[in-house]
Amino acid sequence: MGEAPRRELTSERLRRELNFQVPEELARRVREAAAIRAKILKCLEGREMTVREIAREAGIPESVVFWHLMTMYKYNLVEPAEKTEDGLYKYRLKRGR
Amino acid sequence: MQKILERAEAAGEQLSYDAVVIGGGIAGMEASLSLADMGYRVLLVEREPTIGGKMFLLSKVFPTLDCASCIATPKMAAAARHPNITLWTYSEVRRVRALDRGAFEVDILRKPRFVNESLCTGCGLCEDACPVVVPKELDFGLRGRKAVYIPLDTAVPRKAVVDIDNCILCGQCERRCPAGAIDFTQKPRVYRVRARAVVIATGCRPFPAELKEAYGYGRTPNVITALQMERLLAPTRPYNAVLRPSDGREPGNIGYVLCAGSRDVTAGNPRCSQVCCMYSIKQAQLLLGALPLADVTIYYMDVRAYGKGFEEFYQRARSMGVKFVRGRVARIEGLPNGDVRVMYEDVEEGRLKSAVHDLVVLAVGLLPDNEVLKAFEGVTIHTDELGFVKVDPEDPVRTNVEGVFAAGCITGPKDIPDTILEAAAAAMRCAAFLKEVEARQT
Ligand SMILES: Cc1cc2nc3c(=O)[nH]c(=O)nc-3n(C[C@H](O)[C@H](O)[C@H](O)COP(=O)(O)OP(=O)(O)OC[C@H]3O[C@@H](n4cnc5c(N)ncnc54)[C@H](O)[C@@H]3O)c2cc1C
Ligand code: SF4
Ligand code: SF4
Repeated sequence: MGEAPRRELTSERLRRELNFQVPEELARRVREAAAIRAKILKCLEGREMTVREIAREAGIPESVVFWHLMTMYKYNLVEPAEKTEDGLYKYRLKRGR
Repeated sequence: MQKILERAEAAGEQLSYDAVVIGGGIAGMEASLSLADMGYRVLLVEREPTIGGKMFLLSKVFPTLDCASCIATPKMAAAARHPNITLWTYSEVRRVRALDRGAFEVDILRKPRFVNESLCTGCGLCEDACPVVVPKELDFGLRGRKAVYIPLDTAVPRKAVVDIDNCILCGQCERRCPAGAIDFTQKPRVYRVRARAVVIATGCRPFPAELKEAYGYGRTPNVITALQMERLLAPTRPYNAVLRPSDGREPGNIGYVLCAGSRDVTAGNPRCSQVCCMYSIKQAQLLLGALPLADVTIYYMDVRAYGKGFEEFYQRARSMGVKFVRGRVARIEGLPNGDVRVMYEDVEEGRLKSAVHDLVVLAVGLLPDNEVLKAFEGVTIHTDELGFVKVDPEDPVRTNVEGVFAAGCITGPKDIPDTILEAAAAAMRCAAFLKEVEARQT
C-alpha cells in the first residue's frame, strides 16, 4: 500500500489560486526584521544587556533595537533583568524558552 | 486585501433583526445590551477584530481611577454572550437603505479572519510561528505584532485573525495550529440584513498628531500621544514598564501638552475635546504612582474640570506635585540624546520660555469616526461642521432620519459616564420607536 498523498494546506491552495508572489517590499521588510531580531538574540546569548549596549554592539539604532526587543518580550523570547542606575533595563533571553 | 475582497460572495440567507447597532465601543455595547435586555434582537457590527473601542485600551478611568479593563471586559463578554445579541466583528457596513418607516436594508461585509472561530482556542501558537512582524495598531505602533495575531489578551472574541495584507502565505501558522483552525479557504461574504432601527455608535478617532507639524510627532520618537501613554500605563501594556520609545529608558521628567489639535483653528478643530484635561491629569497621577521620582509638568490654557469630582481630582494632582504651567506651546523639538525641548509662552509671566523633558505627551483631541455615514443611501444623516452626527437638542440621541439613533462620541466628544448614559437613552428611544412601529403594523 502506497503512502497517502499529503493534503494540500489551505495556505498553499490560496497561493495557487491567487498565483501569489510575495510583494518585493514586504519580502524586504520581513528579511530586514528577521536579521535585526537574529542580531539582538545573538548579542543576548549568555548575558544581560541594555538597549544602548545592544545597539552599539549590533550597529542598529537604539529605537529600532528597543522596538524589536519589546516585540520579542511580548512573544516570550526575552525578559527584563535588573534596572541600571540611569533608568535603563538590562534584558536577557527568556529562561526556559 | 483587494484581491481577496474581489472573491466576496453574497450570502444566501435573509437575516432580520429589530435593530442594527454599528460600533462595538462602550456606547454600542451598552445600547445593544439595553435593547437585548428589553427582549429586542440586535445585530452588533464592529469593524475591528475585537469589540471594546477605546475604553478597553485605557489604563484607568478618571476621576475614580477604576481599572478600565475591569469595567469594559465584563461588558464585552456580556455583549458577546447575550442570547438576543448577534455579534459580528471584523465587519463593514457597506450600505444602509431606508425602505419604509421602520424598515432598513443593511448590507454588511464580513471579512475573513482566515481562522475558524469555533475551532480557535486563542492559544497564540500561530503567532509564535509567524515570521512577519508589523506595527501593532492597538498599541499605536509602540511595538510589533505578527501577521496572524490575537488583538489583545482581553479581546472579545479572543480569537486569532490573519492580516492578509501582510501575510506571505508561508503556511507556518497553519502547520503549528494544534486545533486546525487556520483556514485560508474563507471568503468575504456580503449579507443583506433587514432591521427596523439603526443605532450609530462609531465613536471617535484621535486627532492625527502629525498634522500639528510644530509638535514634531512622527519625527521625534519621544513625543507620543495620550493614547500611547494609556497603553504604557495599562495592564496589557506593550513594555515591561513605562519607558520611552527612543532608547527604553525610564523617563524622569515628563511634559504634557494640552489641547494638541483641539481649540485650535490652525489645526482645523476649534472645539474643546472635553476629556483631554481630565485624562492628562489622570495619567499624571498614574505616572507618579508608576515612577515615584518623576516630575510631571502640564502645559495648559485652562483646565476644564467640569464634572462631578473633577475639581477635587485636579486639586489632588496639584497636591501630589504635578506642576501646572499656564502657557501655549509653540514648538517642540527633539534633541540628539532623545530628550525633547518644549518652547512655550508663559502666560502668567508674559514671556517665551523653554524646558527640556525626557518624554512629551500630546493630549490630542477627538474627531468623529464617521466613515459609516457614507453608507447611507437615499437619506443623509446630518452632521455638524466637524462631522459629528447632529442630534435633536431636545432629544439628544435622535438623528434627522426617523428610526436612526446615535450615541457616544459620534455625537461629540464625551467621557465614559456620559457615553453610557447616552447609549442607554438611545436604547430607550429606539425601543419606543420599535413599539410604535409594531403598534401601527398590528
Ligand atoms: C487618551 C484617552 C483617554 C481617555 N480616558 C478616559 C477616562 O479616563 N475616563 C473617561 O470617562 N473617558 C476617557 N476617555 C474617553 C473615552 O475613551 C470615550 O468616552 C469612549 O471611548 C467613547 O466610547 P464610544 O463607544 O462612543 O466610542 P469608541 O470607544 O471610539 O468606540 C467606537 C467603536 O466603533 C467602531 N467603529 C467605528 N466605525 C465603525 C464602522 N464603520 N463600522 C463598525 N464599527 C465601527 C470602532 O472600531 C470602535 O470599536 C479617554 C479618551 C482618550 C482618547
Ligand atoms: S488559530 Fe490555532 S494556533 Fe492560533 S490561536 Fe487559534 S487555536 Fe491557537
Ligand atoms: S501564512 Fe501568513 S499569517 Fe501564517 S505564518 Fe505565514 S505569514 Fe504568518
